[in-house]
Amino acid sequence: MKIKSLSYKVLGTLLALPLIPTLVYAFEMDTAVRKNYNGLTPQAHWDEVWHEVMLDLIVIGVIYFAVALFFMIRYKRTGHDQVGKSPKLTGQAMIGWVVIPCMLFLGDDLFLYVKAFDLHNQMRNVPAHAQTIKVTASMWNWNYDYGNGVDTDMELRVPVGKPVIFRMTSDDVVHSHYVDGYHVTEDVMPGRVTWEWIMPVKLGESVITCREYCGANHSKMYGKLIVMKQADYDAWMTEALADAKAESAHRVASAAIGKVTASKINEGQEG
Amino acid sequence: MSEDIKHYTAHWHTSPFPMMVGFGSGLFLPWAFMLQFNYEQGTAALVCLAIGTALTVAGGLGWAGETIGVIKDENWSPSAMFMFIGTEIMTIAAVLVTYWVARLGAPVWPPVGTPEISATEPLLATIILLVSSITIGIARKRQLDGNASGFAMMVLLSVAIWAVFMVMTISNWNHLSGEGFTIGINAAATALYAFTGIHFAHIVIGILVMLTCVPSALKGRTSFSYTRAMTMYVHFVNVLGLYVLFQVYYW
Amino acid sequence: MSGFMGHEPNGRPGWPKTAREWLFTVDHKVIGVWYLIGSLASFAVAGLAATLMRIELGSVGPDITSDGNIYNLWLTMHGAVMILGFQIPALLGFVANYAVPIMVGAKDMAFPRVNAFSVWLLWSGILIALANLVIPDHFNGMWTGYPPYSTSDAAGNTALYTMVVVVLGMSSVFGAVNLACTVAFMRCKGMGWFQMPLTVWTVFTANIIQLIFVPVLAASVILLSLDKYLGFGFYNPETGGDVLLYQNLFWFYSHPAVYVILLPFMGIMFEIFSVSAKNMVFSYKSAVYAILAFIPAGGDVWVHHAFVAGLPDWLRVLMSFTTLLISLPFGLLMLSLVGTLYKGAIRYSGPMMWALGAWMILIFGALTGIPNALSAIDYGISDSYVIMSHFHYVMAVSGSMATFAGIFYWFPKLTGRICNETMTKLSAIGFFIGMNTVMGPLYFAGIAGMPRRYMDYQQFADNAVIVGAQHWSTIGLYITFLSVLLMVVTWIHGMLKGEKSSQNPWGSQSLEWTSTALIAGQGNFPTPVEVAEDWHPYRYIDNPKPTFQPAPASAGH
Ligand code: HEA
Ligand code: HEA
Ligand code: CUA
Ligand SMILES: [Cu+2]
Repeated sequence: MKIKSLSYKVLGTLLALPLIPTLVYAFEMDTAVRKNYNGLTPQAHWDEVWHEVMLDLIVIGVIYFAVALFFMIRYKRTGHDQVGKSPKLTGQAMIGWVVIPCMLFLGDDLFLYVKAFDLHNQMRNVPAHAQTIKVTASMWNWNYDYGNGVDTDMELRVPVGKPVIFRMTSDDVVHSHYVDGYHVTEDVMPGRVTWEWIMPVKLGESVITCREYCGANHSKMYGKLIVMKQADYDAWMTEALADAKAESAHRVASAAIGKVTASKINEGQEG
Repeated sequence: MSEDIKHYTAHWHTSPFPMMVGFGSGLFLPWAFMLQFNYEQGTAALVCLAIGTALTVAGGLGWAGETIGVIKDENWSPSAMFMFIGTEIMTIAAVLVTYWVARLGAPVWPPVGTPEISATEPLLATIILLVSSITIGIARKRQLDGNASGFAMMVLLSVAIWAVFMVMTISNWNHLSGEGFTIGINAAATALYAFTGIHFAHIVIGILVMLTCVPSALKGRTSFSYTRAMTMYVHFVNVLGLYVLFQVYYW
Repeated sequence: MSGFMGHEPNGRPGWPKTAREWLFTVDHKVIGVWYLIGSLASFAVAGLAATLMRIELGSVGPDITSDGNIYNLWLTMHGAVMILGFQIPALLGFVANYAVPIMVGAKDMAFPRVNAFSVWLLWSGILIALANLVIPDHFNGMWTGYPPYSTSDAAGNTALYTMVVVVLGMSSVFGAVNLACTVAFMRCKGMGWFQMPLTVWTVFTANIIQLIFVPVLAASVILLSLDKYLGFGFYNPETGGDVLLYQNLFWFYSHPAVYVILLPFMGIMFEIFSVSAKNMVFSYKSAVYAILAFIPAGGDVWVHHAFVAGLPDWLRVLMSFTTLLISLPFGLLMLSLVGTLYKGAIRYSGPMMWALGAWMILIFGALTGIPNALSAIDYGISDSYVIMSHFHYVMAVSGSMATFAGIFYWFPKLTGRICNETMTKLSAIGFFIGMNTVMGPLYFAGIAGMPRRYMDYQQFADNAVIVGAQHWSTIGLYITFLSVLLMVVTWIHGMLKGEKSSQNPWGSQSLEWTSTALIAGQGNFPTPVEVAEDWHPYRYIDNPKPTFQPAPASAGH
């Protein structure tokens, strides 16, 4: 009786096990740090969590694997009619072999979950001063609208060091906007506006691809993100603005013809 | 309809009917649909439809003739039907969810510009439909009393009631589309046609199921477990009809 | 033992002899063989599609086709046929039909005719799917068939996709009702729920999952065709529909579907591990509860396939957590498998090599599910080769290895002969190495950014990781191809020339090996079997022998 009630207490205590990593983590993080993540960019944060997750999983995998390998070698059949001699589990041992592993697994799940939850919060909370880019996907094109009359196809230029939020929709089917190196993917679909944001801190180009199957040229629906110095960006933008103005002036001038052609084109596309 | 298989028999049992129903309904009917709607080959579609229906009906009749009242009952059919109805409910629940999502997400319901529709005709049809629950109950009672031909008559009466319901449903569809309430105009129309259509499909299958046991009953052979499963299905389709009525016309 | 099918010479009642007996059969074993043939044919077709894809992907730029639609046709066929035509029919068709009724001591399935109906529905579905290769407007909307692409004309014949899914779904539902009744009502006298082999438990549970979730899939794809052909607007935003609805409905089934595949193939692994180690399954009861736990645990996680689909954030983090919870029952099952080896007496037979390979792949493959399950991590890897590699490891590599292990394991029951042991092991090792070479590098390609469903990867032409991985992966394919070929040769050789098997070649305690002829005839058992209260399919020490009830006068008419 005594032993039994004691073992229940032990098992009961084990139920609290999963809380440990969570609490550790909660105490480790103070809110001020959490607010700007110590200047960590989402992509660096992602990499960090990714490596932790991988390490965690490799440890679990290797433990399972090593134990199994040991059994495989150690318990090879030698005699002809040899049989296995695994001990019969008592009722309590059986419960123990369920509860303890489950609590360990749950503990690890929570540990990973908390880390990823934190990352989720960073990736899904846009800094207030982010620049908005309107993205319109179509088969098979990415159109970026800078909101000031300038828009580009398949190519996006942003100044370094300034967060960018994409507000995205699609003209036809589901696409998915992925920016290489920033670990962001978000589907783009008709009838809804979805969003994702990035924090470009490194100059240079990265590939933008479509990650949701959208037909024959799904693999060709790629563009690039060009991160520029602020000065270069400004120069480019001024030029683009002038171009856009000229073009819209041109459009106004030929409005009548334009309307006709536009409707023709539309009909052609739909037919 | 469990097979009366003895342990350890020397010869193999065979029956061509499951294959007929399988290929009829699984191969020819889908091709009929594809030919009609995807390839717009009306004649070929009709041919496929005819072959598919013939195979399915002939197979079903043969199947029933071979089993009902011939093979000893083991009474698992009702349990199987219970599970089957469960899966049916899941199917309908899936469609319902799409409907609720559309409906609860819409600012006004029915969407602006939806023509007024009247519910009297479907109400009448559903009331008539529900009578079949009584007739099929009487059928079952007759069977328990050992009156096989009375059973067959009541089953046929239920089939007739369902046929009336089918006619009324089709005429209601005609009225609706006549008033401009056609399939694709908005989510309300989509839902109405989807639910009444799903119910209609069940009526068609139910009629086939009911008819299959009539020939053997006329020869005096019935199966209690088959009848129980069949009545379960009939009641289910009736309840479904009532539900559809409330869901699309009165909510 | 051999005499006990009396009238049949040398313990070989054998298979039906005439074409009529084969085609019009209502016997579960013959039907099981039809399932097996259908699923292996599907594997060959879908595997050849994979071969073409891999050759195309071996290097940057067009190799054997430059037409995106052709590649997409291969990929659609590969994914859909592998899952719906190969994996599910092999496990819920062949294993469920062929092995389960004998394992529970039943004379047949509960509804033999319905069973025959199911198998012909499966064949109808496969035939319709194969037609996709020859029709001009082939469906290329992938096995997931997302609208609005799949409801557009570019996707081709959407009706075909709908019909394949619906017909196979009907086949599954009827099969599932049938099997559930068989297991629930037809177990032999004395066999309690906790005396069922785990293969039976897993197949049973998988079928319950099918019953609950298949209808939702059927509904979701029927709505596709209604939208496209009859002008309904379920998924059309312009008339108040919603494109995301489809994804929710689809994954509401298709996530549980992966456990429909997983559970039976783990059941086979349990069978083979236990027999080879001659050891009681470790913590059998907890394994049973873990298996059952997959029903609720699999049903509330579908959003993890739509983490990046614009669903609300709270739903993402919620389902991220519920997804992680699956590691509990899954971990327990893995624990039971490893524990079965503890203090065992392991014999490395051919099937055991396949099963061990399956286990090794499974532990790492299943663990690769965890990063995907963390919603924030998934933002970086969704729809990339990371996912592709994940599910090939669990489902394609581990799943196929376990399925083939099962085929090798029941091979003597199917043919009365044993496959050549060396050839069996060689093909196992070849498949293991080959598929690791195919899928291992692709995981790293995925981390480097390679998206799924790309016929070409021009934009990554100067990404050495991706180009190298694709190259090695294709080399791995050749190894796999050869070992699959070797496996097929081994089967054919075994069937025609293999060594004659004894009644119980693996020394199992389960009814299908101990209580009926090697190739059982119609009715399976001479007279109804009965097992004692302390009989257990996995007990190898002092297990009471199953007994036979006295023959009724009419036995064997
Ligand atoms: C047999 C098939 C199978 C199985 C078993 C699994 C198992 C799992 N899968 Fe996988 N999955 C697929 C087949 C399968 N999957 C397919 C086909 C797709 C892609 C479909 C498509 O898009 O075409 C997919 C895609 C997929 C996604 C979508 C990714 C995306 O599209 O962005 C996700 C995300 O969460 C995921 C997660 C998981 C998880 C968490 C498990 C878990 O069940 C794994 C749990 C197991 C373990 C964790 C290992 C054992 C446990 C222990 C050793 C205990 C200790 C461990 C811990 C505490 C962590 N899978
Ligand atoms: C159980 C399921 C399963 C199985 C077993 C496999 C097996 C294989 N898969 Fe598959 N795969 C999927 C399910 C599966 N796959 C799914 C669901 C997708 C996603 C689809 C989508 O995106 O929609 C996918 C996608 C997929 C891709 C992604 C393509 C892309 O995203 O662009 C690739 C690429 O390498 C691939 C490769 C392979 C390979 C090399 C095998 C090998 O294991 C194949 C081995 C087989 C052979 C090599 C054939 C051998 C044949 C013979 C020897 C012929 C004998 C001849 C006769 C008898 C006539 N698969
Ligand atoms: Cu756009 Cu894929
Ligand atoms: Cu999933």
